[in-house]
Amino acid sequence: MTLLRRLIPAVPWVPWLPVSAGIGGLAWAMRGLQPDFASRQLYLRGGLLLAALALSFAFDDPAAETTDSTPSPLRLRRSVRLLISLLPWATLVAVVVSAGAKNMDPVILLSAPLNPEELPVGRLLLEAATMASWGLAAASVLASRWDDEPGRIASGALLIGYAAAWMIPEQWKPWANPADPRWQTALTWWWVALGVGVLVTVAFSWDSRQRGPLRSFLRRRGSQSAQGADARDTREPGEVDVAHR
Amino acid sequence: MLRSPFTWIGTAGSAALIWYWLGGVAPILQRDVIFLAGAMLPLAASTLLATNEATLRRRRTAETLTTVPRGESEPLWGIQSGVAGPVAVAIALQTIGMFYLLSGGPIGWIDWWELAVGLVMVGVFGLGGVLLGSHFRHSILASVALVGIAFAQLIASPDAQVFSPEPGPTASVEWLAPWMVPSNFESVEGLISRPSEIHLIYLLLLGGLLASLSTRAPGRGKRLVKLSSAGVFSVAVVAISINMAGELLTRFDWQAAAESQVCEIHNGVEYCAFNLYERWIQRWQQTVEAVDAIIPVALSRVVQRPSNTQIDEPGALEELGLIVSTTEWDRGAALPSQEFNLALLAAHSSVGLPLTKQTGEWTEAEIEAMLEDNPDYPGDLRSQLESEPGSPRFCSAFGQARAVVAVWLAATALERGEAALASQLADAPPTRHIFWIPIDATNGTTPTLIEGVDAQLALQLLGLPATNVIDLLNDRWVEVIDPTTTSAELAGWFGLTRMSGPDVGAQTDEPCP
Repeated sequence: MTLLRRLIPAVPWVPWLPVSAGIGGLAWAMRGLQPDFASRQLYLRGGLLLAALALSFAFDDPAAETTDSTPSPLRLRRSVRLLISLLPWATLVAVVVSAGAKNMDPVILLSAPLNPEELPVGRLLLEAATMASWGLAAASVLASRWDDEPGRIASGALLIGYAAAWMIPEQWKPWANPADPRWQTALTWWWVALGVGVLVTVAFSWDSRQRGPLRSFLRRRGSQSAQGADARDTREPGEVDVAHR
Repeated sequence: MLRSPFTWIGTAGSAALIWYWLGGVAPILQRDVIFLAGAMLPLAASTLLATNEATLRRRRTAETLTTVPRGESEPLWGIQSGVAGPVAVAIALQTIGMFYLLSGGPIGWIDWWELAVGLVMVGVFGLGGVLLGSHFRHSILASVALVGIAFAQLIASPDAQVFSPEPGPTASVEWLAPWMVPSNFESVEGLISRPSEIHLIYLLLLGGLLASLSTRAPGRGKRLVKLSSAGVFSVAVVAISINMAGELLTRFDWQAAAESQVCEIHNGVEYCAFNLYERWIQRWQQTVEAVDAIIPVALSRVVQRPSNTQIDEPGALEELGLIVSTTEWDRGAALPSQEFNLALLAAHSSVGLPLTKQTGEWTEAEIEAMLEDNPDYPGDLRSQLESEPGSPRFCSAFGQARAVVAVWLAATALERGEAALASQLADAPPTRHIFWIPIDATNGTTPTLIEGVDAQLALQLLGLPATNVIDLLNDRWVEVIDPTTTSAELAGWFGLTRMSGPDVGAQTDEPCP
């Protein structure tokens, strides 16, 4: 609780202000649109992107040099930061989706066949989570390597990645409408992308001294094999390893 | 700025966009120059991120910078002048793009005002990044601004129909977007009416304003001058927007252009093209003659008509001959998709399929389908449809042997015809097994509908030696051109396997006579 209390003011809140204004504008603009997914999808997806951009600042920690030496591990501090930041993110996502669902029937099921007047809320939430996870993944990679305030680069990277995803050839593009034959195939891509985003975020949010679960695992394997090599050492007592002198 | 990873990524994005838009099409300069400028958008966006990042970095090291004996605005001027780097990259990209266009046998002329927009856009975006960074301490604004610009770009698109219920140019706002998107409903000829000069001057003034607002002027007087300049600029923009709409809604006079078409006769076929496309007649001729060399075509005229523009009297369309409705052609080494469409139309004449839409009334099945689709239609839809005069209609060649032969003939006649056919089949919706010929069925002049299952048979037929196929077709020619001979029968002659697909009896479109 102490950590939570201390981290609430330390989490960057400024990004949420312009993003909230932008999402408000999009929600306002959606009022005049036809109640079908094809007409609203750009606005919906734009709003979800804005929310993910703000979330990518969640790991900004200007005091990292000081907090690194505290007993609380990085993964715990990151988890608390993430939990705090998920609150405004979830609120904004809810605003976007509810504005988009006006005069439409929301459908939560991810792979259900949809009528034009139905809004695939489940699919939109999956897309929102994926975009957010990629923003966080970029931020955690940047924070572990270069920067204590990775949000500014991570948000730019997320934006570029998002724009690049629209330029992917049609048959592989993750963006689809319910009427597209790729609607089902795209679902797999979103799940895979979400998994990658979450994995990278977790891997690079481990304690910097351990350098992530993958590296610590490799390090343990490395030390075990070194011990094994020591055990297999057949040198006679007193024999000197010249190479190590 | 050149060292920023954002600039590298933006450069790659712009290069990819150039290839995506201009890679496979035969160049029409005044259209492609606009797209070449538009391809600079990724570089412009990344320049905004890069300059914003550089400006914010300057703020983070403000304490160090204050020890250096120089003015407060000098570092900002440094970043602003650094925008010249990405602009130089844009010049290099556009130069390469222009060489590519000029090497592809272009038609038309270069609109330098439109070409300059690409470079100015990169500069304006860069200066915008500096402005955001100098007045706001957080980089999120750069990202939000880019999302906002992307939406502004979409809303200002002439086809967005946000400000006008009518499709077509709504020029009062499109010139305010960084890049004026050409309308899908506007022809290449119609691009002449774009306000290119005003748009470029607007961008230049906007860039100057952004640059001056970035630096903090000492003294209230100078600050007041800057703010009043911004105010005057905004008022001028609104005033021009309001007064521009009527002027730009004047459309290209297709009637006059059709009357002054350039016509040439080659091997008994008359080819007529609009003035701009005169040099494409040779390409059309080569395609038609390639089909004619295998199975003779029954053509007297090949006429160019714009898509979605009715310039002929009702019923006159059928008399025109083969209609070339596209304003695109394939670049030399690209997949011959347009060439394939023309070859297929020429092959229509070889096998007796109609070359143009036929005037017809709604069939009973179509009326029933429409009644089912529109249960809430106010009024008596049935009597309305039944009383409508005949209109140009396509017919269905679904399940007809000659449709398979026409597709095979078009693919055989072209050097990379098989690849073009395979590509068009891959683009067709796989779940519905529908294959429109030509693939762009929206062009308004498509005479026939050929199903994917029949086109698949043609693809299989391409696997057999062409001479054997021609010999067998010649032997059974009377059966081949008979509309009652089915594609299943043709598959039996050649030992082909017909894929499962929709039932021929389930079609609602009128079968081709």
